[in-house]
Amino acid sequence: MAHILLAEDEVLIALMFQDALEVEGHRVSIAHDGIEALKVDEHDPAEVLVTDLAMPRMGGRELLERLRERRPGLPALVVSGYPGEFEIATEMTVLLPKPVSPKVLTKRLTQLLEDCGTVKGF
Amino acid sequence: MTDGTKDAGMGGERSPGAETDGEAKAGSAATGVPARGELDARQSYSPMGGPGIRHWKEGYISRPGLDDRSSVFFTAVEMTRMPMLVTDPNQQDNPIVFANMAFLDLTQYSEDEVIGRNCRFLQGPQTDRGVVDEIRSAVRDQRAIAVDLLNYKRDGSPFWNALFLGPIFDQTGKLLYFFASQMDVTRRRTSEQAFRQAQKMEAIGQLTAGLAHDFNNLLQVIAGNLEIAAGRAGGDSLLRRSIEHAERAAEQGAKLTQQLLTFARKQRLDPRRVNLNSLVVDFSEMLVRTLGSKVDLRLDLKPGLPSCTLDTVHLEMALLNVLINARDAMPKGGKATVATATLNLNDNGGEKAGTHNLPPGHYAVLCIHDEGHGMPPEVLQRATEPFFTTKTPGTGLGLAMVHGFVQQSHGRMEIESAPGRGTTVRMIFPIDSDQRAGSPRRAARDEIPVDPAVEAGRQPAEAIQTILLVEDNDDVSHLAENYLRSLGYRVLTAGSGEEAMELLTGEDAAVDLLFTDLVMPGGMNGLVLAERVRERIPGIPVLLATGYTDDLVLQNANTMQSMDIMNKPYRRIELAERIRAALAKSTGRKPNDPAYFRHEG
Repeated sequence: MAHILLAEDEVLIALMFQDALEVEGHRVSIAHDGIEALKVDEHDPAEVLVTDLAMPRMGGRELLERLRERRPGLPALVVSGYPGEFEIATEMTVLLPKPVSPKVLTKRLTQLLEDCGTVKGF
Repeated sequence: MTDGTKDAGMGGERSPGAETDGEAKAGSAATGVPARGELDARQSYSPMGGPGIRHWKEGYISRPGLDDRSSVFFTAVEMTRMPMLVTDPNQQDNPIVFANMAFLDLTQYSEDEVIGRNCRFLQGPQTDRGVVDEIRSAVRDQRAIAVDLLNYKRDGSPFWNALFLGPIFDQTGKLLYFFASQMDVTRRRTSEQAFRQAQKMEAIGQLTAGLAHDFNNLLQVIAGNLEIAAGRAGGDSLLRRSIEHAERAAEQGAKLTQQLLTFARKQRLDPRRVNLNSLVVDFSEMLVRTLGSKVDLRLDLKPGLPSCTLDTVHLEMALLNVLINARDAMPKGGKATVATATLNLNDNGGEKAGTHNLPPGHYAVLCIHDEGHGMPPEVLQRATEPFFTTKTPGTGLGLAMVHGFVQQSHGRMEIESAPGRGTTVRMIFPIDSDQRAGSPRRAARDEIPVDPAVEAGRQPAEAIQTILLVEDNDDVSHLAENYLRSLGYRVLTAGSGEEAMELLTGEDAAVDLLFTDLVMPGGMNGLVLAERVRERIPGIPVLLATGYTDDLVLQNANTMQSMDIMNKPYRRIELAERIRAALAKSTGRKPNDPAYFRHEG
């Protein structure tokens, strides 16, 4: 099971995702914007990032870039509200359109971790 | 008419001084009262291009009568392209006593059809009664008025008339005539109206999109928590049922927001190459079922229709929506026709692009016609507005969605309808400029890269085997693809089950092994895909990649016995061995002799 950094500004959605991920046995660190997420990550680096795209102060796109400067190849799951808002051009990034159900989130996360393991071990 | 008003207009350099004795001399000039911008204040735009200032709003003449037609002024009146009339309010019903040639040109009537009649013959079913009343009271008060009025030509076609009329008095202030000028301002009115409508739709769209976005977030929280709760409800059947009902409500809410997003052109579209003809044919069974037994579906499809790039699911939904309207418009039954056609829009010859508000180019048209009760103009105008409906029950979202979808697909929807004459809905879509670039996303049928490590000692041609690699993760897919190629296999890649099936319909569809992810986004998982592929290529070996956590594995233990399963994450050497083993086991021979491979594993 993995340590997940969850960045989501909508408190209710963050709580829901946290519950869903913890039920699956993951450990979750929560932040409500990109800046907070970077701070959390400094003390307790995660294995995978789950982030909303649109957040105050710092959005998901920049957060992902900054975190990958620290740890290249960090797998990420990006939740996006509108089509065309975010293009996946980077490795190990999964884009999930809103609304995201907890089941889909956990399933895609599991897949991402498996794929990541495949790529790393290949 | 009071003397005071009359006097007000008599000043100025053009005033010759009034003949107050009533004995008008031949040749003494008429006088008038300038309009001073007072008449057109209500109008968005005066036919003169600004408020009329100096033109007269009432006139005073010294020689009554219509017989003297000898001066240059009469010629001017017959030469001008501005339609003009004179009526005689002293006769019964204020009839027309003079109409100039431009008036006859505009209205298409001949002179003898006009003279002696009251102007109201120009009015018709959609003429605004309120405006007519305004004209009437102006005539009664003997004052001037300028209005825009819907009038009708001799052939029944409507036109917007920028009407001005003003009284003409004799020198004592006795009303003699009314003068009226007309101008066809239909084009101006139409574009103003279209602009206002477009603005309104844009505003509603933005409002709707914002609302739907916020609602989506709320629904996500509701549905998500219900899902978590359902997973923990255990054997409490009442609790489970409550959760299930709440989930269903959330689902319906989500559907509604999706419809709103479609209208607001914020829908997530997945455009793919599609031929409208085949889409209609494939979908016709569903359409027939929807139309019911009373309505006949006719297809009139243009052969050789070029394809478009569209989201097929949304297009089917749009077609269904329009046909449901057609059905509901014909409660006693009738005929609904689905037709396709091409449309070429250019600036010289062909049909003018401007009439459809589309850029010049080639278009395909999907046209749905019914013989139903049709729509009156006031309904037609609002037909695509969200929440506007004439049905009970109706959501008012059907045509709004169709409109939004077509717009987002760079096309245009047009509706033609009149009461008793049925309705025709046209969806106009741009045709793909390059009709041959139809291969799926990552179809790699090109050259096989030569890896020196494996080339030595390998026979070309017959030894080459093809692997269909289905994997939605690009990174994993690229790694596996390159590696398998370096082993000497030919590799076709697809990002989903649907894409894989599309690849198999191509001409070089000879595939020796299917290597697929078990869990994939989209409708088709690895198992379903494997079954479909085996319908086409019986006995083809299948290698499934999966994480052990997948429920699918347990549920489908039987089906999967005939397939090889590899756990994710997998290593390179493992992949090579499993592929080779699957190929060998299935064919009972050694396709690519393992001895040839000196992979570095």
